[in-house]
Amino acid sequence: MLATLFLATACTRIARPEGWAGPTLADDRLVASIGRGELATIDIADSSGRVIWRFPPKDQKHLNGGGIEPLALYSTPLVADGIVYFGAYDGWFYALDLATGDISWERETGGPIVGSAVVEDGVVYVGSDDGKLYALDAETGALQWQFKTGDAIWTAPLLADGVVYVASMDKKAYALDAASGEEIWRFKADGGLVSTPVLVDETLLVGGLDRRLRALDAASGEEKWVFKAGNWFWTRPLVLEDTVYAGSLDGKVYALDVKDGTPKWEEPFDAGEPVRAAPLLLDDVLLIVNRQGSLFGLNPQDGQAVWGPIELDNTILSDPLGQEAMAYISAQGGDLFTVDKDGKTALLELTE
Amino acid sequence: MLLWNLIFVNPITNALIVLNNLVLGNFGVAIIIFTLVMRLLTMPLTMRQIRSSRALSALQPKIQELQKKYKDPKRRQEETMKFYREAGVNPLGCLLPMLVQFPIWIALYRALRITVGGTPESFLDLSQRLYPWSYIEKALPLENHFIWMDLGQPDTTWILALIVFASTYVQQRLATPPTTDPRTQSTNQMMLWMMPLMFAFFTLQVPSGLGVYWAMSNIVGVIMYSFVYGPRQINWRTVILPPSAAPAGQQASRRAQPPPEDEESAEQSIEDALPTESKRKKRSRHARSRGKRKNR
Repeated sequence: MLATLFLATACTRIARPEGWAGPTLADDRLVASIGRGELATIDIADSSGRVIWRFPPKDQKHLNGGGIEPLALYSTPLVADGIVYFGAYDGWFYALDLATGDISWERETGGPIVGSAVVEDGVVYVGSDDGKLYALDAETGALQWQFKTGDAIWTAPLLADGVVYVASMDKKAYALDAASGEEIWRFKADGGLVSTPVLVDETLLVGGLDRRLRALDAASGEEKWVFKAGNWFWTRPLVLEDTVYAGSLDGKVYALDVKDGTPKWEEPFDAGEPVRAAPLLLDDVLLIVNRQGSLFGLNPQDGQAVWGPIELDNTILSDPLGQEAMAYISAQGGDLFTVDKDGKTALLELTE
Repeated sequence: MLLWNLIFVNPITNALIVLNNLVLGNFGVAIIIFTLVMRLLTMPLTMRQIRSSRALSALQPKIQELQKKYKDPKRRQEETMKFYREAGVNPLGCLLPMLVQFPIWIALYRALRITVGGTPESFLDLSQRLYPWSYIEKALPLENHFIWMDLGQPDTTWILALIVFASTYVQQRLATPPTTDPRTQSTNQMMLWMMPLMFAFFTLQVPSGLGVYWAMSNIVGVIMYSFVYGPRQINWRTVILPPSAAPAGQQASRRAQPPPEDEESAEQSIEDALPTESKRKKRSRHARSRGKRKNR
């Protein structure tokens, strides 16, 4: 009995973060996580899959001399002005030179970084598990301001018209002045907010652990409508014209009228497994990826499958990246796949 | 696996979150209350274990006699087991409560790993195990911190491991049935140290929430023993101090029941130690044999 207990303990131990950072395109380079806690820039110009640089390189140290151990990457990298910005589960936020992978600057936050960053007007905004939203100078990493919420921030902030919107695990969505960090309004939901907010016209869409997708008035924070699913909304919704597409951890994908939240399909699409990855439009096909790595191509009008399921046999929790009629998908473990609008998939082979 | 989750992991996960709400969001207190409830539910088994251990203690002089009487190991074993049967004592009865608790430990470990594991993956896993009650949804995310510990991570201060070690040791000392068999004595002696060491080692590896469960469970166990034996009957000094290489009879006397020196009082002690049903059967046998003698 003791031996069994020992084995059960030794084999599983504590939960280990794996990461689900999505890929990013920068000209003819793909910046993507290619392993647990590892980021790489890949040349995709000639389909060679040549790795230009990896981060962290061996023996790479923080600028203060400490060893770098990102642990896991959940934050999809952001590329702006030749710099790659991303946060890691070790709590550090990095700015790397896109050409070389060298650290331009770095800053430690008080907790793991799960959400992605946004950059505008020379300021990078990123949330941390310590509950703070940081506004950092994009060139130096100097702190411009910080805003403390009541719990972890696992979402990317959203910037529009000088306002930064952020959703927090403290069950609240905040609108802050992007220049000063002063609060404009806050909205309280019934559960932690985990989906990255999306703005369409004057409506802010945000989903949470209370199984609800909410539409808020972007100016006042008042609730316009609410839609309840069978489980949490953790995906970033996709808005096309007057329809919002959102996947839920109940394994279904919903199409709702952006004006009032009424369903637009006869039935939600059943993906069979939780959907964490954001929906993506590939030409005229709506790409849906579930946790088990099953791909579906849907008709956005009626939610009927055009093709699929196509199995990648990998856990997929990251948001796919679209480029014209092709998408790049990062699987947990580091494999990178491409899929076109007809459902043709390929594994991106990496070479050194 | 699906059934295992359905029967053990998911109910424990949801029960912990409901308890967390009842104690105003303190997950550490929720684990402690959960432990008390589990100990309460398994109390009949624990009491059986304690009585079994107590009865074994009282039977030691007779066992010694049997061991002296029968030199052949096989016969000795048979006679000993026969004696146990007649006395209505199961020498393995001490293991039953532990076996019953074993699936709970594993399920609790899984539940803690999911509820306070802290990683986005474990949180996503949690979404698939929660009952669709708004009362539960409102509790999320859970507060992982309790006193100095992050309940989802191992306690690196070693304090919890030391508490688990000490409480396991004391409970082990109280629970181990005394024996006159040198081999069993040696095994017991090894287990007396191995069990606390292993649990302390596990505590350093697993989420500290599980360590809190072990420590609390042990403490409740010790309290139960002290109630059954009577707090004054236990020589706490000898329980806490490491056992010396004393003869079996002396080791058996470390607890409440000193072994009687003469045969008559030993018989009386056995009588006292036997469960009521065994006593009734034994008296009935005696009455029958007396009746037979009389008839002759």
